Amino acid sequence: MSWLNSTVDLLWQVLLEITSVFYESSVFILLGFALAGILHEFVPLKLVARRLGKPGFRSIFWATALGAPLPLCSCGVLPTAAALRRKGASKPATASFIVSVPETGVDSIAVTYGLMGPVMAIYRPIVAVVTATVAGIACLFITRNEQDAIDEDDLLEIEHHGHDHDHHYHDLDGEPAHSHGKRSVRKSGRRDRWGGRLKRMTGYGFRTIVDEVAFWIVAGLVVTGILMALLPDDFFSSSLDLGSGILPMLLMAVIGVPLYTCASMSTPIAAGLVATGLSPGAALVFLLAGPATSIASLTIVGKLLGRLSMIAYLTTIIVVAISAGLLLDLFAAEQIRETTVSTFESPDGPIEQVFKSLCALIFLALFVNSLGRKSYQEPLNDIRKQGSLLYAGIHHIRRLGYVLAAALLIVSVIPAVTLRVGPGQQGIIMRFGEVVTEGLEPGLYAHFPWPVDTTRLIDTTTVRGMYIAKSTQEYLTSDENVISLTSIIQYRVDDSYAFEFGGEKNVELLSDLASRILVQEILSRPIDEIYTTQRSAVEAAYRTKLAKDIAALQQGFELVEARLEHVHAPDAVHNAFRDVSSALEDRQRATFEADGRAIEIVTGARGRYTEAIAVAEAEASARVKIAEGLASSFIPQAEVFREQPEIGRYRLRLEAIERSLARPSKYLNTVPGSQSVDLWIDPGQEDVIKFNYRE
Amino acid sequence: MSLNLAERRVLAGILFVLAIIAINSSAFVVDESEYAMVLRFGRVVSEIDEPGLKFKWPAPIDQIRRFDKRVLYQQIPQTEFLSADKKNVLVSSFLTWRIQSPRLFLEAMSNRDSAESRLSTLVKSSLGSALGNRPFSDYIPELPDESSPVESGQNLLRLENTVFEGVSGVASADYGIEVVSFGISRFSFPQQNLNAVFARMRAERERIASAYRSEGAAEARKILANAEREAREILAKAESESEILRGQSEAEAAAIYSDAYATDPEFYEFLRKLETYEKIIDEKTTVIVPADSNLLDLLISEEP
Repeated sequence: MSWLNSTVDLLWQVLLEITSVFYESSVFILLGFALAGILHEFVPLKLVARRLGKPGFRSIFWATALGAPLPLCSCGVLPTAAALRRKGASKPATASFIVSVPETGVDSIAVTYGLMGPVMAIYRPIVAVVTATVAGIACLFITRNEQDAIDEDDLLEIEHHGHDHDHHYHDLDGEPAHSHGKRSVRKSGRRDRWGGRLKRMTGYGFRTIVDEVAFWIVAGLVVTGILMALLPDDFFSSSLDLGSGILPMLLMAVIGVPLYTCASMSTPIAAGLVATGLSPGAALVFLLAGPATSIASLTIVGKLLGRLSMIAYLTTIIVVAISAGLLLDLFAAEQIRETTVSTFESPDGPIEQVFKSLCALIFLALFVNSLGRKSYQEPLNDIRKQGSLLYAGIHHIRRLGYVLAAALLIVSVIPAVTLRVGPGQQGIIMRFGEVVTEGLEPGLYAHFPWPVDTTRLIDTTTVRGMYIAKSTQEYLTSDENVISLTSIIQYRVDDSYAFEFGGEKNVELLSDLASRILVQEILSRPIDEIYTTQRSAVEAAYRTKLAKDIAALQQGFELVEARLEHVHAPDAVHNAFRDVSSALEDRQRATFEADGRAIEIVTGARGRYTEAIAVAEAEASARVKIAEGLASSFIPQAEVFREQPEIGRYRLRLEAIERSLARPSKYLNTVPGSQSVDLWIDPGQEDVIKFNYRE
Repeated sequence: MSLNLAERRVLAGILFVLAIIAINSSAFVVDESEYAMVLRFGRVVSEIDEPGLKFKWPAPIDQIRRFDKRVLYQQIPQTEFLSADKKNVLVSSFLTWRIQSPRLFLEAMSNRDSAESRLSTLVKSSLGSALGNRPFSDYIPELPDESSPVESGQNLLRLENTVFEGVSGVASADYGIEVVSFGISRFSFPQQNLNAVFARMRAERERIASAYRSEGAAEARKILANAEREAREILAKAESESEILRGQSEAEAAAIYSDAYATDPEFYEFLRKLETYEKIIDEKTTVIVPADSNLLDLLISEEP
């Protein structure tokens, strides 16, 4: 019954994805409807028609510029274009109009913004305008020598072509003939006019346009949901190797050109494809080529503009779309992809949730309302018609189809019966659960298809790392202290068989083994040693023991590296430990400072020593010099003195008296013949005569 | 048979579907990593431990139970125990085991969850009694120097062993489980005790820090004292050396003087006396000159 379960699971998944796409895009779909209503009210198509008849580039420009925002789908545009043509629009202008109208519209731009972000929402209409202009110019070039004759019959036929959409734009001759009684509203006063306008806008945006495109939008959302549920997240990028480059763009062109997709419908599909790994460039090709062309529209364009113009039209669209896609991939691929993926994955706040849910409900109500108003037999008929056309086309190239089918079969069968073992992998082949070959080296191996054989691939060279860093994991040391450790172990798988069948592949076991060894190692040593001298010993013991234990597990693991990343005191005491190292620094600093002072003192003393010695030496030498001087002046003096001793003695005595008695105070003792002097001399006494020459 | 073509086709279709259902419910694959037991109405009829394609009676009769053959891993969450000396110890541990006898396992345990909870209980009680037998200090070496690291972890290993043996005996006899290994991944104190340990550690570190700081101060003082001593020595040396220089120069000068004055000692005496007078008589000296002195005879005489 497991297939039933998985089918239910899958359906559930599809439903979930559809709901999610609905939820994400409804806001923008409603915004698109509103914009379409406003646009329709303010830009009547009559205005457009008037400008398309002019020859040359100007009409192409107007066709492009006015066509781009119109919210018409690719089938809807054709009758309108035919009507324009009948009203005198030139061939090139018609071609531009046919391209630019379906490729973008205000509604699809709004949805693009919502699902794929601003870059895509701006880029898409720009490229659409470029495509339309180039198509118009190409057509102008081809038809430059033709007589621009209009085949009324053909045009009328196309005007009432195929689908019976209520294409209100058909009537270009006067007021759009809606069933809302517009004419009478318009006649009334100003306020009424605005009220009427508003009514017409909502009528057009939320009824007419809803009737026209809602079915296709819902179809697009459903297809997107199914795609996203069925395709793995990296479907395009990994399994098919179609993520980027020109190949997926060509593929998208091949899919998009014949299929009928309208701009609004293709947007969610493109977003879904990007989310599953398609490059945004390729998605852009799908967005441009899809709405602009279908088998039906190509035949009609052929009738409308001639075969040559049709080919030019098709070529232009494909070439410009692919170039634009390549350009986009070059600049903004990653950004758009991220936006798209995050649209589907990012969680919303409560207000956003309510708002988005509300929008989704409103859109659903509009859709259901429209279902009641309009028979959906008609779009289904459309699809049927597309299908029969497609079938006819394929029938036409039947033989090629067989070849393709055979190739497809071979391609799909090969992975079922071969096993590709890549570099750094080992493969295992099991037959009915029993391992028949193991340890397969890189290469290609054949095996029976499922359910006989099953295969497994195991990465062996990839080194896996893990941290043993539980913040609460504090280890006890032998001196009953506590230390925190962070450790990293790296391991890889070296035996695929043992890895797969030896034990439960639970890597936490490795972490526990590592913790166990650390508990024992740390418990055997005091904290200061673990910190400092024994750290490398702990690490070495940890590594060898862990390697041994992991090998003993026999679960195919091999230890590559085990290191202690951080060894520190627990946070609670970390500051105290830090302070110890600051204290060590302080000790060092104190010694250094004292050393500096000591050097200063000793050097100062040395300086004073040198100074004192120099002074002493100078004094000594001066003393000797003076002695020498005096000695050498004495000898000649003595010689002269010996020649005339009396004269010399007398002279020297007198000179000496002059020098010595000049300064002191002198008293003259006039007492003749007195042998002694009465020292109690009163200078005022009469018997003391002052030494005075005059008296 | 009177069946027409269309009826035959329908019959063939029904038979085909039935055949598919029969094959689907009677053939089964046993994987390399598992045991399979075939239960007929709930009774074990065969026990398969070889991988491959096997057959049984279709669904309502025979049923299969599969058990993992690989080594399974289980964590025993941390639990608080008391050691013999009433110390609280927090222990986390882990266990690897595999199913040894699927039949016994099926009867005793029925599934992995119940096996895990039984093993967990077993480990906890075994750990509790083993830890309660010894004081906490047994798990910690007395002094690091006295016992080498390999020996000191020994008691913890012994604890692991005791638990392992207790658990594996019970598990293999009663549960059909072979315990492959048991290890202790955390061995520590509960948080409240840890806070006390932290406080002690902080105090210890503060002691070490202040020891370092005072060592620094002492060292600095020592260095400065040494420098002062050295400086003084240098200055003393300068003084003594300059004294020596002075003495030598004076001796030299004296020699020069005596050499010179020896040529005429009388004249030297005369000159030296005169010089001495000059030096000893200054402004403060009062000289009383007798009027009849030799010096003044020209000044003061009888004749004008």
